[in-house]
Amino acid sequence: MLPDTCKELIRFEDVAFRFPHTRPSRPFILKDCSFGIRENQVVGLLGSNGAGKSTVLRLAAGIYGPTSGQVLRSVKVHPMFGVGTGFHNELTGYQNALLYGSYLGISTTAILDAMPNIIEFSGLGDAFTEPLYRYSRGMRARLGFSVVAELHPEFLILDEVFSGGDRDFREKSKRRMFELVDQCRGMFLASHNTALLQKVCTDLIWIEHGVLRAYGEPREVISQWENSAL
Amino acid sequence: MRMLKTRMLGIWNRRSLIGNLVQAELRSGVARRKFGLFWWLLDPILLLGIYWVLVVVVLDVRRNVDGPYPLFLFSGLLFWKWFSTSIIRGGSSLVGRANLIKSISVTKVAFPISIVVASCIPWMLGTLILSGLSMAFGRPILSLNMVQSLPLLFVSFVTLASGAIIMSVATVYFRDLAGLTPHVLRAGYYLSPGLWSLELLSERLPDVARTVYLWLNPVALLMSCWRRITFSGAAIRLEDWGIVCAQCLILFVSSLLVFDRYDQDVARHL
Repeated sequence: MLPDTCKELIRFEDVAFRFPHTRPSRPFILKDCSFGIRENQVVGLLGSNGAGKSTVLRLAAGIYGPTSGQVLRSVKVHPMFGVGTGFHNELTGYQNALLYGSYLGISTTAILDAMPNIIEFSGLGDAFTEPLYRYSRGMRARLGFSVVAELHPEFLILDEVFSGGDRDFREKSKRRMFELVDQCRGMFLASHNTALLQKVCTDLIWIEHGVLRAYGEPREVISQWENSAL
Repeated sequence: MRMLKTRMLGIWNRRSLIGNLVQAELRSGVARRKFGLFWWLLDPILLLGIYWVLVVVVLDVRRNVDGPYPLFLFSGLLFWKWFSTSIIRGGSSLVGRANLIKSISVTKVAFPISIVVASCIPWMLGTLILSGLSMAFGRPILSLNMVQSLPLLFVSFVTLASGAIIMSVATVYFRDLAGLTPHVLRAGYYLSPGLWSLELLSERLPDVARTVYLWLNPVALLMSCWRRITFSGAAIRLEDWGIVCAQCLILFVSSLLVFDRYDQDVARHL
């Protein structure tokens, strides 16, 4: 834990990470990574596929533990990766909302109180009481995000969360996400969408082959990243 | 000691997650099946039928059993079913939820525990029916000895949950366990007093060997204790209480130590 007096909410100190069975050509997914995220910062992660973005987010969320170094947190983090993961096909939308809410750490009473909002936000109507095996992929995404939208997060960690549902629902979830960001003490997200990152983030981190290449003002980092691709 | 307290508190704080997982497990287990909840009863009854034909009709090897043999078999099978489901399904509960564990910072220990709770419900239902059948056969089970079933239920639950927790972590690191466990359990059933009475051991083995066997096979004594209550209506011996409680405590502490040691590392191996 970080001391309360420290302004950084999350701090990576010389963090290295490897999976048990990695390619010999790239034994470490992340190497000597050090940076911090302060109060009210919205930090975006930029990098090509396989650069180590998701690993950094999972380390920040405490899902993975570092192989060496340490990740310090002074805030309760709420990761949102693969919204809707863990749904049961045989259960109804209602039952899955209850279960998914408890995965996210929301109490049963709080989910039940929020259920009318969840039903309304999802726009699933009567399908909410039907088993999930009758749902399309888009409907599942709607259900998952509607539960997530009821969170009151202190610090959000997102990995390409706006990808599910139809166009209208994506816009609706984006708006809700921006509302959540306003309530948060900070946010850490990864996306390939540079326009979105530039719009949302106060700072960007560029990571490549597990090495932190740049950390700073979004326009500058994006320009460095684009130049490197040329 | 502080670690044990923190871990136990962590489990207690996630009781609503465990409750929702149990409901999900029970509902999805019987969904889209014509017989629905009846499968909780059909399953042990079908097993009973198979073993009864094999042991009584084909092999005729029933021994040392004071009372109707089908009930004797049923009492053992019910507990074995709870145990084996807990170990097999609990063992694969982390591997089977790899995507979820890599997506959400969730209390992993809730998964094996919820399997043990969910598989306890059909066992309880079966035990009620067994008790009714025992009474119908004139067995003296309705006595003060029934009071022992509550503490025994607690000890059984903690023992099975501890076993399921250890297996769930072990299966993450040794995936072959998922294939190996059903075979080991099948052999374990014949080595446990499911088809035969534990008293047979006293006749055939010296006391030291019997004690070693009981310490190495925690399920044997639990199964026998449940049989004493639901089949014989007898009191559990003090010596047996001592052994099952000690085994329960050892397994419980071991399971929390294992989970504390590997909790942060599990997601990396999934």
